[in-house]
Amino acid sequence: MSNFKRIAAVLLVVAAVAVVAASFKGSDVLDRAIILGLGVDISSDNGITLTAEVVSPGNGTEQVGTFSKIVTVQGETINVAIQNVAEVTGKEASLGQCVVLVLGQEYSEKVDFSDLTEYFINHHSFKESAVVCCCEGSAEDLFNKGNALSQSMSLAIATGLLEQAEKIAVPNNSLLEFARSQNELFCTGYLNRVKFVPSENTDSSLPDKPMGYVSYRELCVFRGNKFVTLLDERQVKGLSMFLPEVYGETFVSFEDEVTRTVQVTEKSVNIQTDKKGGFDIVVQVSVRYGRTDSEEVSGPVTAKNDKEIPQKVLGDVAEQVRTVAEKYLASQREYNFDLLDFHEAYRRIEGTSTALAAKPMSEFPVRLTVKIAEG
Amino acid sequence: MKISFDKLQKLWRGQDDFRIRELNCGISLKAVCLDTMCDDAKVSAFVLQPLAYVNADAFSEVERKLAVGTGVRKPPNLFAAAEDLTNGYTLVFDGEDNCISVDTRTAVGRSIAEPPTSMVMRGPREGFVEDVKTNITLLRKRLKTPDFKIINLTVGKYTNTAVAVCYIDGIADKSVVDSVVQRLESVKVDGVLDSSYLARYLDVNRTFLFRRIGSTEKPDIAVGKMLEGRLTIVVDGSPMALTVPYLFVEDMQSPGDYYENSAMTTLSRILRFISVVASVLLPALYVCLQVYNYQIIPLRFLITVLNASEAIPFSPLTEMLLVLIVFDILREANLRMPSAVGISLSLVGAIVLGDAAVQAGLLGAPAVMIGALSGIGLFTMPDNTLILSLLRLAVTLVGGFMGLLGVIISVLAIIVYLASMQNYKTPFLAPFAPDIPEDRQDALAQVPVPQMKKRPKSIPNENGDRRG
Amino acid sequence: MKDRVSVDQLALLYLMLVMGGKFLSLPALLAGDLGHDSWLSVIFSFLWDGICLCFLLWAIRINDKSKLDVSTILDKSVSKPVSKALLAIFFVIFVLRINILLGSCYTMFSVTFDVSTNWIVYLLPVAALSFFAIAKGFNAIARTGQILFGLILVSVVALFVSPLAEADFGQLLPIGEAGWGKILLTSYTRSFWFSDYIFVYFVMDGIKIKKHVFTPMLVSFGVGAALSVLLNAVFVALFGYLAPDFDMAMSKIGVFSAANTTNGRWDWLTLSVWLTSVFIKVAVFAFCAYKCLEKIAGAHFVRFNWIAAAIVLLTLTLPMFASAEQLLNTVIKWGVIPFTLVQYLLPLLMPLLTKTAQRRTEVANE
Repeated sequence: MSNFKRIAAVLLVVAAVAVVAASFKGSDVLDRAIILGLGVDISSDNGITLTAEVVSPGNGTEQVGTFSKIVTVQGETINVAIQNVAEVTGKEASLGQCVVLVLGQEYSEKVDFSDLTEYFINHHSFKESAVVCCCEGSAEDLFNKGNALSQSMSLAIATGLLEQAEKIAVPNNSLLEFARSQNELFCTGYLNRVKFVPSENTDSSLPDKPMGYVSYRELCVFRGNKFVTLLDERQVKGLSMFLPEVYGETFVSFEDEVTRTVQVTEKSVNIQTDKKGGFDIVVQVSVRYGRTDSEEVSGPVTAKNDKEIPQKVLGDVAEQVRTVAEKYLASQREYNFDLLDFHEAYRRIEGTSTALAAKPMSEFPVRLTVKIAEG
Repeated sequence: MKISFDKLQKLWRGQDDFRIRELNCGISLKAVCLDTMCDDAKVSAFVLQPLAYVNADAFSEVERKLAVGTGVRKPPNLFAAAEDLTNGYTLVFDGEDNCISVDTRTAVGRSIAEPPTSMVMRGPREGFVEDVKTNITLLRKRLKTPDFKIINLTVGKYTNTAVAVCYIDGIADKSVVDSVVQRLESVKVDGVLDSSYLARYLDVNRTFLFRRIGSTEKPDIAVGKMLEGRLTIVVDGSPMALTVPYLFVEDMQSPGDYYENSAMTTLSRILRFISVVASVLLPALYVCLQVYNYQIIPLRFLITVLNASEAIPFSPLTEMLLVLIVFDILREANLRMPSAVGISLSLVGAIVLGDAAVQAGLLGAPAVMIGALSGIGLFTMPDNTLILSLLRLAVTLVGGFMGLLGVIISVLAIIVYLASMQNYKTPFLAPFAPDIPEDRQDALAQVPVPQMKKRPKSIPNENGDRRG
Repeated sequence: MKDRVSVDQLALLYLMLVMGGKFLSLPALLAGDLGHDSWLSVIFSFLWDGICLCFLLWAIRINDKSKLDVSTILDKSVSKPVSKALLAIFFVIFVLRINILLGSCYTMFSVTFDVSTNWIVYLLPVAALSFFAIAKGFNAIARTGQILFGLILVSVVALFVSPLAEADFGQLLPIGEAGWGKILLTSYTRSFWFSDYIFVYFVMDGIKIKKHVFTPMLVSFGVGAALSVLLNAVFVALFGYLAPDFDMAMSKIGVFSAANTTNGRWDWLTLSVWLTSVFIKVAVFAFCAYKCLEKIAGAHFVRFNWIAAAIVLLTLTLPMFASAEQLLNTVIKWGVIPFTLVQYLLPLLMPLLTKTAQRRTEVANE
């Protein structure tokens, strides 16, 4: 009996292990097509052309360089297209490490892409902290230029936007922030517009290799996932004057025939509602002489610069700040978009109402005060 | 008490070393001893010389003459006499079955040396030896107080092994002493070859995982533990003294800890703890992150892993299990090899197996690295290394099958199991569960010795104050 | 006695129970009900909880002399049939709560951690763990809680702190937009998720009181309540209008924790640490359900009772037939009144009932 029991116990354990092993379905990391970046374009039949940068092991043991490959597929919807990535790569398409989502120019400007935003927001693996942007030309072209950067295009865009943009006065957005803005009362938000800028080949060993870098100084404005307008560099500079987390704007002043460059190191922005249904905005900027050496030029924790800036220059810069800021406010009124959360500010006081949601931007009078200090 | 010489002689019939020497000192005497167990010089000095030229009328006079020896006694019965004989005593009989036994034991054994299992940078280097008497001497040398008590017992039907339960009266809890003695007395076993035999019997919960009884080879550690209210059990023939009650954290405390700076001790204990946790969990996490949760792995490391394991023919789980088993085989072989060969073996193992397997594309470099890292980390808990290695395999297996769910559940099960154990009124996980704040001064963190004013509460004791 | 527990252990366990489970699907449900005012409803629910907890602690204080267990108290004070009926309600509550908890966890594992399997294979290891813990005694569970408590608290706080930079607390304004009546009603309809103190009933006879009862328990209640309110606030502040879509609050809330998106989802390891508190909660509730059966049967299980365990296990297969959502909807429709009876009314009466039971026991002894 005891032998019988022992055999039974062993069989039971083996059976349990077998059942557990068979019932849990994991996907080995090698069986996954790990997507680093996605580009979405409109296809000729009004479907989607999806360009995916997929990790491709075996292209050398180096961490940098060509460890990825570009896959382009078609599909009626984003869902179908991602499924097709699986078909092309022969592996399960996995979005858990995706760092960037690029919308092609045609797609972003012509299509209402609410379903796309919704798809990625509800996707359980896709990170809400991933960078979303649109691009000049098609996303497919952009991704195929990765070779010129000598690194993965997705990583280049992601690190550029996440780590550098704020220091050079360019605002940026994650998927969550963008999706949140498209669901707010006035539904407006922006995405950076990325473009590849070719540059001269300086590598004599590879004379035929194209070279270049990624620029992201322009913004596209969207309302309800539909394209509204493109903000050029000057307007972006104006917008950044209202965003305290973005800094590093430079202003040039000519005084006594000497050109001086000052740079914004810090700013505080106070947007207050007033009684007339408008806003009182006070922008206080700290500036110092621009420097190009390795010393961190901006940010809240930099050492003070002892070189005094003449009052005249400060006054000139204040005027310039005011001009770019007002230019931005004017375009906000002209194209009726709300990146400074004017509607949201009133919602927080009055609560949600359809009247507020329908109120055009031109009905919010704004009084702008610019203060400047050396810092 | 009369003891039949004939019966005794019958017990040892056919034994070559059973030696009888007939003496005539007025009355006829027989001196009996086991040749192999006695020291000839002692037999001569304590038995033969005192009786030479004696002309006695009665056995009582013989007794008086033999009193020059230090260990002289009258065995109460035949069994006691036989036991004395086997221990190396010389028995002296007269014709009327009167008997007296004289201590003539031979001192064959190792000399006191530094124990190889617990080397210290600083601190005493004496270690226990196989002889119980020497071991108790080593303890007594450090505890010069009449409060140091020893209860002598004999365990084992055939080995008749001497077992000494040592404690400090006034510190150790009497009920614990009683229950330990009771457990030892109730042990029914043929033989006790080492103290670890008794450790199994002393474990109240009869656990098969984790060691529940402490062991040390160093008298200073044993005394330190006794001063905290523990008992030390010294077993003849074993250089390992047992200490009860035993806490989980004790395995993370090294003998040298008390002789070093307390800040350094705290740091190294925390390192030991982290390395043990990492050793058990790292292989499992590595496998389950690969099989299920690639999102958690940092992208650049993921790419390295992918590049390294692209050509590997095994699944991540099989790969990791292989690495772990190979590591266990290497360790086992290393232990059994003569030490000179052992060193070359570990080199061969590391280079040939590790590097060649990676080169040949059988195992991935990250897996080998993680397996090796985890294998080395286990040795920071020397008493439980083998158990932890087993647990590591189990957790890896479960993690490979069931992903993070499996890892979480197995870790919880291990903790519940550990938390439920209690030996001699001492919870195994004290002073963390249950939480005893006063005892944390010498658990993972350690305060400087002058600040340790109280004895640990987790060990039952009769006097909580370390100063009197 | 293996079911004995000290007040400190009880307090830590209570805090872990408050933290475990409330952060899974509840924040999204509340956000769906009330929008950005969900955190207010949590405050109200905790206000109820706090009052009831105080009364229950008072009862424990009274019970310190006699150490009666809950069934004896109920038997002696409100008659045996009523007592059994109440215990049966308790059993249903515990079983349902385990089901909902495990259901959310199941979803979490399958969608977040990609560990997809069927309910039975998922349930069996969890049930095995719970029954192992029951067999080892409540004391072992309490001690496990003590070991893991610090880690869990740190991981919860880390998960909260990481999204603070991205969260926009202005989204919570204006306060009370959903209407106070609706907020209160939601606290009532979602009360099923709260009142974690009910487990205390089933260890009442084993509580070791040293000095204080109220202080440690109320401190952990305060910390737990504050963390829960904070989580709901952070959750809405982070996800804004999208909050109802994020049905797995905890797995998404830490997404901004890594400084760089290429750093991997380290927050999920923190999340796994927190998940241990969910399984501890399951084990505690399974213990209570088991005890309910023991007391309904009127027996005292000296050893682990396989039949009782099998009954509990059987009830946990419920989600195979009805989804957690269906269960919840049914529960709210039919169960909320009897449930609030034992969750919120019984604690208020507990001091009185304990006194009565004590008096009657004394009379019987004389």
